[in-house]
Amino acid sequence: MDELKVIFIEEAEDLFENISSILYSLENRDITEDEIDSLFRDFHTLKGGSGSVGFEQFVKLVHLLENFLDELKHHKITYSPKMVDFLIDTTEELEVILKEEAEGSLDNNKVEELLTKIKITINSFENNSKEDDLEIEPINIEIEDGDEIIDILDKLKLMISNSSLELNETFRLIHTLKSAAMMLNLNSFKEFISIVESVLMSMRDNQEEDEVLIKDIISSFLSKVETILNNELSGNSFKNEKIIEKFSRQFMKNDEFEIFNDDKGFVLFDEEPKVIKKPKKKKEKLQKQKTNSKQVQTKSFKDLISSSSIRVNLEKIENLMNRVGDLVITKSMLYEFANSFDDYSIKNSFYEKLDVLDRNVRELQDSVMSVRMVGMESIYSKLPKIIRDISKKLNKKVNFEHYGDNVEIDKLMSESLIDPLTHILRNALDHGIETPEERIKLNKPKEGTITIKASQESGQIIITISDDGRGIDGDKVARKALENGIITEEEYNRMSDEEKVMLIFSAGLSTADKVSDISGRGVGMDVVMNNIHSIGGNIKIKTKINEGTTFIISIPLTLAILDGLNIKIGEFNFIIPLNMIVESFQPIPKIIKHIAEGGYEILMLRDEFIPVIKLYEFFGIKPKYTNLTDGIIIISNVANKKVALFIDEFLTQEQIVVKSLDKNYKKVKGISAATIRGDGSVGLILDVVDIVGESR
Amino acid sequence: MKEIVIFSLVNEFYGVDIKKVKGIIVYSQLLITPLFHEKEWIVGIANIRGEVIPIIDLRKRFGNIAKYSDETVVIIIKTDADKWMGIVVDFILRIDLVDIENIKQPNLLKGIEKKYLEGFIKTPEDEMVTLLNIDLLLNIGEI
Repeated sequence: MDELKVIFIEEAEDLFENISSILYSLENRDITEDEIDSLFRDFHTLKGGSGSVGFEQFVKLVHLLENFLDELKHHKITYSPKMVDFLIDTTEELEVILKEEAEGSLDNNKVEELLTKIKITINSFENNSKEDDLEIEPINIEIEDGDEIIDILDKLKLMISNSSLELNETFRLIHTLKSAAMMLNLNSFKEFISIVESVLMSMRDNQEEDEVLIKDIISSFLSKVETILNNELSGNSFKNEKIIEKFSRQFMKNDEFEIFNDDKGFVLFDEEPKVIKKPKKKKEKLQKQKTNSKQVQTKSFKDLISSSSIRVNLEKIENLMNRVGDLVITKSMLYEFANSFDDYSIKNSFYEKLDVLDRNVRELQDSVMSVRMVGMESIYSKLPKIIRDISKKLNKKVNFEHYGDNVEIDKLMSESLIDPLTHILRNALDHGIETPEERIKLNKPKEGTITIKASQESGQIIITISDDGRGIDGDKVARKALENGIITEEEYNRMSDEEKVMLIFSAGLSTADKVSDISGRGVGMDVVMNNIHSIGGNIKIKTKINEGTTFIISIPLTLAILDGLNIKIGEFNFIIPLNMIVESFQPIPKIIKHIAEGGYEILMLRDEFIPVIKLYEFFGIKPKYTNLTDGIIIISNVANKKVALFIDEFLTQEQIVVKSLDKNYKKVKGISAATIRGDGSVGLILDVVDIVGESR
Repeated sequence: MKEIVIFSLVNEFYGVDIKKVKGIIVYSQLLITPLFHEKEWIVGIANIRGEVIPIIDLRKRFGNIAKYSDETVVIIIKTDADKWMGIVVDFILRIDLVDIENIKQPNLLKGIEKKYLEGFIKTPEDEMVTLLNIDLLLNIGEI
């Protein structure tokens, strides 16, 4: 596919996402004018974009919706909640159509059918809203977005530097600018433009083209417009008052003008201007001269208005990240090199400088990381659709609330999060939330509530999903697990309530009394756990019968670079991610308990029994120490259960660049990934979750 | 005509298409990290130009005894699956142009399963060289 099409499709995905998020938020309330505007703009952009890259069928369909929204916008049709459903359904179909047209698998009959369907539906809406014929003038506004403002300002800049400010053209541009400002609700900016507009208009009305005045006012306008916009966009509109006042005094001398400040600015063509400047009747045309007019600075508008973003291929960012990774490796090489100096003063001054480098590299890494970050809203926007579909199917009523839309998360991680979150939501809807009848019996509000929150805490992102449903009966889960042979009788007796609840993540377990097509087949929750583990995260559950369940997912901020602790077993070094370590110590004999059969050892630590995994046994390495009291114990937390890893000793703590083993090889038992050490060798990062799983 | 890298594995000559070869490194200069739970012919992983790649000893793979000397080299291969892998061989004979019209179908079995062989070829110097189907040989399912 050609590149333009690809770019458009990417853009279209964003637009669709935007459209859906507005539409889904409308289930319980009326649409606002702003939202209609926003929808109209999105469809308009979709139409423009698809037309320019040649998706002809798609254009036809979008065009209908754009018209429909235009009518809605100008109150030719009265809004009714039914329209939301219509728009949701049609938007979904449009997404499919676009995909099919891009793939070349589009069936034209289908398009015709859909066209007719849309037309009929829109017609029926139109007929239902006949009551109001107080039509407002149809107004033709071109594109109402920030880009246009920039375009116009650029045009004006160009015109002024070429001294080609022709009155009609200038007026047209200023007028469009004002409409755009109104569209964007930039009030003080609009006010500012109105002054220019009224000056130009009076010139027009008097058929008096004063080139000098036009140039004056435009150049003065351009020189101040940046400040005005800056203030307005940063919420400091009040600062603009003075500037505007001064500007109006400068150009509307002796109160010959009033500030033109009504909201119907763009119907002025047909209206008498409120104030007319006394005609001076000098209709002489001035010769156009090339003057070296001052270059007007407009550079920062772009950052400010056009949502200040660019589209970058993820691969390029990946590449950038890799380069930073190389830098981190080079840095550790230098540390190693510094270590080889015998002279202490050289060594220390070298270290000092390296520490500066270290800080800079970390900062660079943070900045590059931040490029890859996206808001949680990119995940949230996908969820309402799922909830709507499922709750309709199940005949349950649910409110969906989300918080922390602006919490940022690594784009790659956000992709691996969608599946697990969807699954948890499905389960919450299917098993958690009761039917309205049940809820009424339980004295709960008829509508259930599912809340999802995201926050950033100490280098981790915490996502919680809560429902106010029936909660998870740990005992029931554990009995089921016992039936299915997932746990033994003995384990069953020993398990805490919390551990029993965690059993829902075991493969092949479902407590649903009947299997539905939404959930209940017992596949899923184990996948959820695996997915979360694969991005280095963890899940906890809090639940209370009849009060609800909360899933707490914690994931690291990034997967690319992590802080690790170097450990030694025999003559081999490994790295254990710092976030996996709860505590570490050299055990005293008193806390080591021996289990009779098999010579297993467990630790008794503050009333907790913690199983010991001897890593030398796991990897088959000849260790330096075999006695627990000689070596070091690292306590790690896996799926809410503590385990003790036994190693010989630990070495330095280090920032490491994660290199996947899958890329050139495959997943290796007990190892989550590799890294490149300062000496150029490959270091292995322990996969604690895997080790615990394999050791059971 | 095709350019191939000819190397020796336990006294037999083998060849791979030079287009697949991304580099040749002396074994003793590589820092190889063992992987413990892998098959015995997976020597470990090493850092080649910032890539973490597995090192596979083909001699062990086909049940022979592997001796390491100063001549032992690792040939870095880029497979069709876009994976970089290193294979340990006894030594590199040379790089040679061979006539691919003259490939003879394999009839002998020398410890290596037939499916991994593309055929035999005679070099201008009259050596018998076995062309390896290196993509199949280094397929993740196979190693």
